[in-house]
Parts: sequence; structure tokens; C-alpha cells
Amino acid sequence: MSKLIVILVMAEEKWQEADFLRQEIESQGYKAVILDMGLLGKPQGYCGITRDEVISLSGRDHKEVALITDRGKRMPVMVDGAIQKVRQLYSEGKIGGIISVGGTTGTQMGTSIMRSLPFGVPKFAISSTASLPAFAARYIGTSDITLMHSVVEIAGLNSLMKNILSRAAGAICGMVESSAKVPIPLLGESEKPLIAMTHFGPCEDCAVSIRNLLEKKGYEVIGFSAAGIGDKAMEDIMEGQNIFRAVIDLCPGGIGEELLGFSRAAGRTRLEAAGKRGIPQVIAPGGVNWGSPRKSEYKPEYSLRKKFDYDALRSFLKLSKEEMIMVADAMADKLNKAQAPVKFLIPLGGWSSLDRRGTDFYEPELNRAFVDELKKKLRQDIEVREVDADLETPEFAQAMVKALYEVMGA
Amino acid sequence: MMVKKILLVGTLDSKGREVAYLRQRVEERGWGVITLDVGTLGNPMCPADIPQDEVAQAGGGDFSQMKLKGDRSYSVGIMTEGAIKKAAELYSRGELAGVLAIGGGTGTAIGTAVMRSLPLGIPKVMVSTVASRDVSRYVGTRDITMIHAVVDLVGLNPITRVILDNAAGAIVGMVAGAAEVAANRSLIAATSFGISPISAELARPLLEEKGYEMVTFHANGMGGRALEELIDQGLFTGVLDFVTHELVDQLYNGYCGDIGADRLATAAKRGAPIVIAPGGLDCIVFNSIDDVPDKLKGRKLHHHDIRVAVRTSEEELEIIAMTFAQRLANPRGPVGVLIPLQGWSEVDKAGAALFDPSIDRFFIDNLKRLLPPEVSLREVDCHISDLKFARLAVEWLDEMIHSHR
Repeated sequence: MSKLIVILVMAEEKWQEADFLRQEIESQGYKAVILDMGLLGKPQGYCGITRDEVISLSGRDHKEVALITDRGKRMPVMVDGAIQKVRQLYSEGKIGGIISVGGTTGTQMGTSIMRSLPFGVPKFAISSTASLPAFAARYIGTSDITLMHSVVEIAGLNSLMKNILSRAAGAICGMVESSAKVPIPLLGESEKPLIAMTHFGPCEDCAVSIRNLLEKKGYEVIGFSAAGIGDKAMEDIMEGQNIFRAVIDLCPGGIGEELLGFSRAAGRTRLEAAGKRGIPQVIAPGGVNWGSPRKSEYKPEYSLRKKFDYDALRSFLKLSKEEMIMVADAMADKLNKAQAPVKFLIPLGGWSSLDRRGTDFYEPELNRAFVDELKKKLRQDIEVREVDADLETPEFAQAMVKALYEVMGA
Repeated sequence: MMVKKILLVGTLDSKGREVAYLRQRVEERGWGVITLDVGTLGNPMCPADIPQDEVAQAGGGDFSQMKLKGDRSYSVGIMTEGAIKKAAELYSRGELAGVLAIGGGTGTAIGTAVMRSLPLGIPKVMVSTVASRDVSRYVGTRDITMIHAVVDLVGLNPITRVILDNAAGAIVGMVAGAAEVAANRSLIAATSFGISPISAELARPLLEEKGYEMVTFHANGMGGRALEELIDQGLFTGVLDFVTHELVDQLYNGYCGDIGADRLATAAKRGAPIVIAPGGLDCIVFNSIDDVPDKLKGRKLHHHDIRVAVRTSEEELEIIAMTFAQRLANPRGPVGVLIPLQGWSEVDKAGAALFDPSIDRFFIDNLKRLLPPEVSLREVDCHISDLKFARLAVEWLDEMIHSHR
């Protein structure tokens, strides 16, 4: 039986586009159904899953909903109902993938609905506001949603719009076909124990060495980019699913970025999920001494700081001593709550490829301030282990792996 | 006949395994792949069809010297240039079916730069660890699809395999489904905007009656830039630029102000017939009341939702008239400015909060004084959202298109 692709749309506005998508998807041999998540106007055409059905599933009373004339207040009703519907289809094994077409409101609702489905179910949003600053982050969050920019306004079928939609239909069908070939692994039941590890460009040599060492020992390493979303996704996955044997938090810079309001901020609960769920962890301060404020938010005093231009878009500034102490403090607070073994390893020769011993950016007195504060604040049983090497060396990677075996009791 | 292939861009020193896996998955689906290595640090993990040194050379650099120099930001710049050149060669030889790229921060910057250099309609899929952030610099005004990698792309594991397979499926599905976007003799671009006039909506059936198709751009900054770029690609037979509101927002860096320097200029420069209206020039829109500069406080004001619209002054509209005149200078095709006398948006009409015909008149007089002689200006005694206005705009554009051919 071929699986179903659900098309999410506000049918009072963009039904034509959704119906074109439906035809394109069906022409490729998949079944498709339009789910009307519309708010106020009448649907422009036939929807396999009607607005009434969605409202019923939301658990709200139809008469009560009929009285809501405020679009914004109808949105949660439709999102709740649609989530019920797609989860039900998923639990019956019927959903192959999900796709939405919309502007700001439609994409916001559509992606909220998609985020309720597990990792690995193909999720695709076509949006006229995909490229507006900050919108992608809001739409995708930590989930595996694919976002396509429609470029033109989604307002009627014309040859440009048809081109965009037929490519989107091709993409979702291709994705659904893939996910049938490579099914979503049953997490926690994979053959090799999974280790989560955070990554950051300037700490990549270390990450590669650690991964090679662990893979030789029969572990599989899942990397998360410490760019503020990936590391948050790691926390979310650990919070929700027990799949990781242990965590190597090589690059916990998102904690300081969060405290200082910088661009790689990883949320207030970063560094907490592993401890809370009893997952053993080894921490290193990879890149923690660097900050990445948005360039538009540079303060005058930043011109006095040491700055590293990493590529055309990204520059990093060294944190001040006070900031280093503040970050150490926050990290100690979080780790002190951990319910599983924790070790914190400090490379004395620099904390990333940017500030190796011998470079201008190597400032051991600042690093020392961080370490002293950390030792002062951490619980007695949490070891801070200093390693006389720089973070990017094989020696440090080996030390990390050794500490990992210790916390895992392996 | 040349068989089109999918260009696969990545840094093979760090993402070699993923690139090799993607290649295999795409090829299994019957499509050829050309790999292009934009890595600048270590040695590639697998051979590339277009290797590092060839890319560097195309970008005007010397790979071995670049390695010695070790200036990351310089190297990335060279590799980006080189990759764009190589993609352009493939495209001009008709060999490019689509582009798939994979990367973290740097890889996404390079991959999307390559994609942005290619025309609308060529499938573009970017697998990125940074997809769920501000992607406006990466996607910009282009039809790029971003696949959020969720996890870091370092090695194959049960999670990355799912993401990579999805990406292979997506690009193959897109390439199979894509038809080349060709300049269509009957395609008209129009601008619209939430709180301003419904002229575009009214014009659609009128244009369709005459055998045209209409494509709408949301004039919110990004939309205006996309419009100018696609006019420059030669996609449109004519333009109905009803909403020029972005220009006033630009004066104060307002809600729709991020439009660059080309807004309004491209059609005249390229010779595409265009009719321009002052939709939304009555107001500057700010994200919230807190963003309204002190010097504008005390003016007529409209609360939209959390956004607020402030009435424009004579002084500001004089600047806009000068901008019109500059950007429409030496037009290579017919340009018309059509001004309704009874208001320029839903909040600028008789009885509405921002209605002020004397300021509008001041703008018209300035335009008459400043506009180049080739540009004609017509006044219409109606509101911009009246059917009469849309009809006159459509008819005027239709005449231009016929006489210009």
C-alpha cells in the first residue's frame, strides 16, 4: 500500500496551489490528501480532511469555535486538531510525508503541526517568508523540516508558481521514497551504542580524532553542531528519548552565548538534559572563550577585543575575564545537578584551533580564571582534569576518550 | 545529446564520507553526479570530479600557495568564486540539472553562494547544520530549499543517513519534476502588500482576460529585491509596480526597508515596460510603536496589528520623487507613473487615519518637475484600490507592451 502525503493549507486562500500539489504528487504514484487548516473564509475547493473534522479533533465545541472571529485565536484550535489528525494517521502507519504551502500564518501553523511528528518522517514547507530574517529558526526549531523559499507570493497559479510547486512535489515524493528505503532506525535499539558529541568548526580536529577512536571501539558518534540550534536539538532529543549511552560535550559555547545574548545562544537549559536523564558526560571548554555577537549588535568596546574573522559571515571575539568567570559559574550550577558521572577536561595549551599556545589569541590567564572559578563552584565529586596539550591535538582527544570510558564505567 | 547531471558541492576534507554517500544515493536513482570540492584545509577523503586546485584556479587563486598562506577567510572567498565559475560553465553548456550542497556554517555560505548565482528554476537543495537560524543571507531572494541536518554532519550514522537519504530523494525528485523557467511572453509581475492596496488582486482577472499571467511579489523588502532580480533575468513582459512603499520604509529602516539600491530601477534599465503607482507611499511602517523615531512622533498614526504606520511628510516624499527620477533616468523601454488622487492605501482614503491629499499633491508636483522627459505621468481621480485604477494600469501597460514590440 502506498503511503499518504498530507498537504497542509489554509484552503480559503491557497487551495488552488494545494490542489496543484496534490495532482503533481498523485501523478508520481503517491496518494495525497489536503488537510484544511483554514481560519475564517470558505475553502476554495474540496479538502479530503475538512476544517470541521479538524475542529472536532481539537476537542473544542463547534458552536464555540464558530464565535471566534479573531484569526489569531483560531490558529491554536486548528493546529491542535491537525496535530491529532496527523498523529493518528502516523500511529496507524499511514503517513508517508507531510507538506505545507503558505505565507507567514500558513507556514507557522504548518510547521507547528509537522513538528509533532517524529524525526525522520519527511517534512517539507513551501513558504513565501522562508528567507525573512529569523523566520526559518521559528519555523524549523530543532526539527528536521525542509524549507523551500517560494520567492514569489503564493497567490494564484502562474508558470513560476507551478514550477516551484512541481519541484516541491518532486522533492517530497523523493523524500518519501527514500524514507521507505532507509527506514527510521529504532533508536536505542541500534547495534552500536550511540555517543552524542557537540561540534564547533575551530575544534574539528579534536572531534574527528575522538570519533575515530570511538568508532574503532565499536561506538557510533552522533555529532551536533554547537551553533545554537544543533546543540539545543541534542538537549531536546536527550530530554525526550533515551538513546544515548553517553555525551561528549566538546563545545559547550552555547551557554555563554545564551548568557551574553550572542548569536550561538543554545537556550537556558543547555547542559542540563544529560544530567537530568542520568546520562554520563565528559565536558571540554572547546571555544567557550570565544563569543559571536551579531555584527549589527557590536558594542563600541568590542573594538578593543581580540577578534578572529573566521569566514565572510562569522567573526569571533574573545570573552573578557569577567565573562569567563560568569560562564564558569553558570556551567558549574548546571553540572552540579547532574544525576550521572561528569568529568570536565581542560586543555592547557588552548581551547580551539584559533587560540593555540604560541598564537596571539592564547591567553592562559583568562583560561585560568575560568578554571579556578569552575573548581571553586563544582561539586567535590566532579573532577576537573587538566591536560597539558592543546584541544586540537590527538593527546587531548585520547584524554577525552579515556575520561569517557571512566564515566561510562566501561 | 548531453546528459544533465547534478552538481554536488562540499568540503571533501571534512564531509567526504557524506558526499560519497550522497553521490551513491543519487546515482542509484539514475542521475549522474559531478562532485566539486571546496575544501581548503586538509586532504580530500575521496576524489572529486572537480578537485580543490581546479576550483581555486577558477577562483583566481593558487591552491598550494593558499594552503601555505593559511588565511581561512581568503581561501573561502577564492573557493566560493571558483565554485561559482565552475557551476556557471556547467550551466552554460547545458549540463546542469540541479545543485545539491552539504555543509556546516562555511559549507552553507559557499554552497548557497553557488546556488544564488544560478537562475530561478534550477533545483537547489542545501543540506545544512545552520538551516534553522537566520537564513536571509544564505537564501536571500532565491528559490533555495534548506534541509535542516539537525545533527552535525560528521560521519555516517543512523541519524545522518536518514537526513542524507532525504536530501538525495529531494534533489532527484525536484530535478525530475523541474521544467526550465523560460521567459514567457505573457508573464506580468505585480507588487502587493498586506495593508496597502488590493490593486494587484483586481488586476489579475483583467490581465488574464488579455491573455497575460500575473506573478505577485510581496513588497516586504525581500519581495522587492526578488522582483528586481527576476526582471533582470528577463522573465517578465511587463511590470505593474503598484506598491512602492518599500522606498519610504528604507528612509527610516522601517519594516520593509531592507531593499538594496536597485528597487524600481531594473525595468527601466532593461527596457521592460512598467507602470508604477505610489501604493503605500502614504506611510512608513514600523515593527512596533517603540521603533518609531522621536522626530516622527506626533504625526498621524495607524495601528495595524503590533505594527504601526506613520504618515509621510512633504519632505520625505520630495526625496522619494528624487529617487523615482534618478532610478527611472534614461529608460530603455516605456515607463509610466500612474497616480490616484484619492489615496494610496487602505489607511489613506477619505475618512481614514492617514488621508492627506495636500501632501499627495506636493509629491505629484515634485514628480512632474523631476521626472525625466521619457517618463510619462498620469493622474486619475479615484482611490488606488478602485477597480477603475487597476483597469487603467492594466490598459496602459498593455498599450506599452504592444507599442514596444
